[in-house]
Amino acid sequence: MILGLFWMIVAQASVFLASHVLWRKVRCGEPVLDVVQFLLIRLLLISALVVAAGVTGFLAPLPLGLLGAAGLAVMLATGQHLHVQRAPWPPIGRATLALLILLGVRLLLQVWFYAPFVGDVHAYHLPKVAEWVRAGGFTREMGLDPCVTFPSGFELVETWWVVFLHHDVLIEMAGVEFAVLAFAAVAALARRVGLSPAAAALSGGLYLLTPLFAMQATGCLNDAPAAAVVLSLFALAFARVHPVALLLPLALGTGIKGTVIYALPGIALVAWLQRKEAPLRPSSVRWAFSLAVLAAAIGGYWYFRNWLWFGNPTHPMTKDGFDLGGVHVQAGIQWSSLSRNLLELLGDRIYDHHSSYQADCYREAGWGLVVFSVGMLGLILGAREDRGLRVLGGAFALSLISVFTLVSFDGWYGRFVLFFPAVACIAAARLGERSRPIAALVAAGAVLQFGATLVAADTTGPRMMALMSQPWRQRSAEPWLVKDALPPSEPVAVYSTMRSVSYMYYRADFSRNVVYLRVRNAAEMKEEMARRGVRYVYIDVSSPHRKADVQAMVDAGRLRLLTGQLYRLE
Amino acid sequence: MNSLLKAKVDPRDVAEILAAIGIVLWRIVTSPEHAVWRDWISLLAVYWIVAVVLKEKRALIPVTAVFGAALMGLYLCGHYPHAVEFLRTVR
Repeated sequence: MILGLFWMIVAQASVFLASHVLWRKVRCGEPVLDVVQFLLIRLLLISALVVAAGVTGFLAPLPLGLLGAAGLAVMLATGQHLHVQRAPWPPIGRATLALLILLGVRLLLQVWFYAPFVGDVHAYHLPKVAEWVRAGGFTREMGLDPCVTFPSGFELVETWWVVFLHHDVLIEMAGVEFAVLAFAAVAALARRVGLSPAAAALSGGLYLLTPLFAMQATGCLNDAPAAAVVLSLFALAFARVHPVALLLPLALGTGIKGTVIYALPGIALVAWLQRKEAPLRPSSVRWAFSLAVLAAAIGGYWYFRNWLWFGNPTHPMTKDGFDLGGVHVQAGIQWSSLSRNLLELLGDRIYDHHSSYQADCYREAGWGLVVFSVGMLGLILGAREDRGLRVLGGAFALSLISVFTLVSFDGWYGRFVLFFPAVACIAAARLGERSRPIAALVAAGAVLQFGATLVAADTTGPRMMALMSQPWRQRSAEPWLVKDALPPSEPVAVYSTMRSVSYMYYRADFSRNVVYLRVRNAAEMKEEMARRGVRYVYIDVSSPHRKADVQAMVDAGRLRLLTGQLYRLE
Repeated sequence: MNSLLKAKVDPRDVAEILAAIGIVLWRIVTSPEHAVWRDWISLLAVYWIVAVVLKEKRALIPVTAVFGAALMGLYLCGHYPHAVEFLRTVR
């Protein structure tokens, strides 16, 4: 672990310095926007390193660490570090600074005390990360869930944070990276509409407090990262940067989640409406283009892989969409989806009155108190008074409409428009800057949201507390499902037909072998387990026929139910 | 009265007020179960009318603060019982 930590520090330093070198070549010269560009380049380099290591089978601490050390040595020898300067601290005011420090400390505490706890994360986001880390490279085996082949750009950054330690204690840092990006993008937008540095920082802080974003930032889901990239695109387009500078976040975002593409109409509208503003050119268009090509290769990797493996770049999505246990994932435009999604969001989910805040936002918007009240009032007022906010409000609304036209009406669609609350946060900060009573309302809203987003309600309070109170070396959601029934050293098989919530079985240090069974019935399951030397099996089958099959085996005494859905062959 | 009649009416303001009234009426017709005073969309539309009428007047900001506080109250009534109940179980 200590050696892994050493290599991680070396690799992180190397990526930081390399990002700085590249950033100097493509920066546009506007302070907050420069931060956005730096963060995007850093995420691109991390993603590129993990893809390269994954494809070549060098996804391990030593090769990555040695590569980092070599790169660092070259950059230090050529004096690249001498160009790194401390940026002047913007005058953001004590109250905003206190809020940002509190938010930062809370994020780090959540990183430390959380372990992945959301169902989707255990089913299809992270089993592939576990397989990659265990194998030291990309694997064909990624789990049984139909969604495992979705684009995995965010999982690359998660892999970066676990591969050196061979442990997932820092996995939530991937979300924190994108939270910082979202903060910078919102602040850049706010500065562009004329807010002071303090109000711009407050805008970013309020966005990080948006309940759904706050829950997702450390929830290992990829909707917040996708929103952060969309906001970066808005920030760059609104500042009228050279089009080639937009390609990097666009390609990176496409590799994170396809819904980033759905939001493009609003970004195109901003670019068009800002066409008369003075353009911002990168230091070198050629370098910006080279980075865009690299980003396209990384973002497009998943689509290319799916085309190679399945003959369909968007597998499992087809032109008819695809079905996932009663949930239909839509492909293409459907106007009925737009009206249903929009009316349900604005007429019901916006109140967040069905449950406490969750990372997967089931039947809620998760936009929170500030956006619901002062944010939307500020947006109405701002759109009447200020061209910049009018442009942004219209463009964000167009992106929201575009996304809602392209996604099905279900319990969870609200997370695809997580970028939208940002414009209301900017409007709230703008209003707060003009009036003390409204500033007091914004402050009260921020305090309440801070308190209400301390712990995600995706599972019960006692379960979350049990998760957080485990020693960090073992911290995982495994005890929720198996209690003490599964010995740590025993491999476990997974026999499931739809969802297979399997990530927790790997354990926090990825020490357990998880065997995925592609079998048709319980007899084949038993045979395959015997062949592969596995005694324990997690069973989650949906068809009555398969369930009866398993029950018959239990009745015959050949299979024993231990707890929940965990069985042991007798 | 005379000065009011002489005041030039901005057609854009009229269009905005008509649009906002249209939204309120649409909500009343399509969602009768939601009283206007506790329907978020209707309240925003009413505020829109207020913002047009009070534009460039000093009263606009205090009125905005009142609307903001009212909307916060509306949100808290719906959400915070759940939040408090959940946080009580987190011990």
